[in-house]
Amino acid sequence: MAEDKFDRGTALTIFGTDRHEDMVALSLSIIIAFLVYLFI
Amino acid sequence: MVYSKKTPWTLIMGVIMVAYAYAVQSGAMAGVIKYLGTDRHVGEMLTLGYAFGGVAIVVGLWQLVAKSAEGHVDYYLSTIGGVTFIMLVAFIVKWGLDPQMGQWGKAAQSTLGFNFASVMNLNYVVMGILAGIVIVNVFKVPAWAEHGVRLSRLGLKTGVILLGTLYSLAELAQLGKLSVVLIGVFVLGSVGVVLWFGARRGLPNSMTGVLSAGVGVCGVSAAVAAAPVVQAKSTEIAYTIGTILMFGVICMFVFPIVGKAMGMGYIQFGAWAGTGILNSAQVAGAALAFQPNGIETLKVAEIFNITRVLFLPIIVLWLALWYVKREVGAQKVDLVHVVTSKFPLFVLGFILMFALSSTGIFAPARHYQGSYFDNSDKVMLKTGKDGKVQSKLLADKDLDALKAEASKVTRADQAAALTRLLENKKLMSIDDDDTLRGVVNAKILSKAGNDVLTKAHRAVRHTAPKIAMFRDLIAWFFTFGLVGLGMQITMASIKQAGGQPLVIGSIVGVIKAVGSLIVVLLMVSETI
Amino acid sequence: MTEYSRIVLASHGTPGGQAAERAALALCARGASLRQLVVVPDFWRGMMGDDWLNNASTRETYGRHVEHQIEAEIAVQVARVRTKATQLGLNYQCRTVLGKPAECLLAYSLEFAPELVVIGAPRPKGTTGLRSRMHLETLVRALGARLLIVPHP
Repeated sequence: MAEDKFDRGTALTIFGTDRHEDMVALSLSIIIAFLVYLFI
Repeated sequence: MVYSKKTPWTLIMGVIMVAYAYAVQSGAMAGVIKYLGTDRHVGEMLTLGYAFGGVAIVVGLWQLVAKSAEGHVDYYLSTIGGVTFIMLVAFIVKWGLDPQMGQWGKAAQSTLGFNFASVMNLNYVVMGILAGIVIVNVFKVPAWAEHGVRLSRLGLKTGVILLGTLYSLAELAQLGKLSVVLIGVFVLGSVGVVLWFGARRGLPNSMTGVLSAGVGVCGVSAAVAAAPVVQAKSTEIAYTIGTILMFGVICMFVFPIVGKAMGMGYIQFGAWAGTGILNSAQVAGAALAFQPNGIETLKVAEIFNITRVLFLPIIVLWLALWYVKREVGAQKVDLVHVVTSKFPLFVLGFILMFALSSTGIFAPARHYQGSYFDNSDKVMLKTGKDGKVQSKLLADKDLDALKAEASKVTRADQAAALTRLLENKKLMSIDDDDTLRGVVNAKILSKAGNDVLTKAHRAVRHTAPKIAMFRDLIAWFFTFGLVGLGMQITMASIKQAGGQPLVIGSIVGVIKAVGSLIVVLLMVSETI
Repeated sequence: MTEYSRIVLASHGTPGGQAAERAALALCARGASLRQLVVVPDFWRGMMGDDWLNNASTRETYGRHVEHQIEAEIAVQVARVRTKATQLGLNYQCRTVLGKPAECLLAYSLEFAPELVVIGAPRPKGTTGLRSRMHLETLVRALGARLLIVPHP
């Protein structure tokens, strides 16, 4: 119905599943934490 | 399907950002920055302006010149336009509109009799969300940005995970306990009240079910989770979600105003917003609106938010059992499936970050609210640029003020800590600091005495630079997420608020807001 | 009374819509083509639970539920018109679209080229219902056929 616009992800997120989104958020956070740890 | 749109806008926005950052760097903006008083943002103007502007220019050029082929590269790069769009809105609001509004508020104070900008909390968070709402309802999100707006939730999740770095174990334990109690009482209470109300007024079970979840737990996401379980009709869903969205937007603006008017502290307000606001998305908004330049309120509110999400499966199960009992032919529910499919995995990320932080790699391990104790001469006596030594030790007049009142402190440990402070002109240990914070909070001394103690406290408490960095980053992630989230609130859906859900939802919503306000004021003190 | 051989009826079964249904059926010539257009209002796009704590599997279940629910509700309405239309020997078809009512009706009229378009009047003030109005000005400006607005019963 409302989903014909995207063939990947949903209107909520560009990722296929939440698990995927959660993992990306987690990796992003870890990378950021690592950069902060190294450079600040 | 190719997602990248041929548009010059990504490129144009990138050029604007880089040009702005360059103008700031070259000093061309000095007058404006001085007028707006935004000099403390200069650092982030440069970093963020160049970083996002640079990426937008490269990607914008690529999308304009090259022909995108279907695939991952196209898919992920197509979000850049929307991300840049949201960031541009955030820049304009944070570095322009927010300080400008502050100026206007001050200017109008004599005519209006109050500072409208500070009373109405017209800070960058509120205005960013408003900007999102206005963009989607008045102008429509441009097609090339639509795709990137879908990243706003990733921004919020990353913000929440990173937030884990800011808690100390004691804080988390205490906030956790408090949130479980408050959320437990109010969530289960309001679900129960709605179910009772519905039965009394003879509403269909499906309507009562979806409404109770929406009003009770975390707003739209709960209504959405419950709707299939209780087989809600389309109009019932529309009425309920409309009501919750309307309530959420109103709460987001009203809560901070009330909180300020009542002089609530960060912890009190965070606890209240986390319990009383129906829709979880607006909790973060209200917390940041209340305290835009710090993160203490958000920290409290998010713990409540997380607790709420953890309550969601319980409520869904309860409703399922309730519905099965009342309706013949209702589907049986699979307990394990409900719990696993509703468990928010990013909460584990939050815990992981918290664990990392507790090892002390970002700040000394005993940090509390991001600050740590240090009273060595290195930090107490600083040599300024002009060669003068600036001392953070207590001055003689401060010491005299304290000595005059020292007899008011009767508890042995507090008196001993005070004596050590008077002898050394500085706090000697973290325990002394904690003990004397207790004296301040108990309001044993006069205001002047308390001010001296607070001064001594500030002199030995330092914010770790890494933690400060995390705070700034988290604030940006939330700003990004909230502006994007604002772009998903459409008036057309809010207008559907109506029927019995509007009546019952409003009654229970107000009871919950007022009830939690009273409980928070009675139960929660600032020091926790 | 004039009878028409190509009519578009816009109704999703509200009381006003049902009045329009009756009028449309009465105005059809023998063997006429009656097309019913059911517009699912696009505010549903904002109702998909796009909340950051919602997760995609919940949303999917919910989306399916809403879709089935709306389909089932429409099917009841359509069945009623279909039965009557078949009894009258009309050539009846129904189409469901998602969007803004006036725009969808215009688009469909352009495609089907009816002689008459029948819609119900907006419901009176004070009655509850979903808020998704046929924007008359948009419709009247561009509609190439006669338009009949049936009063609310």
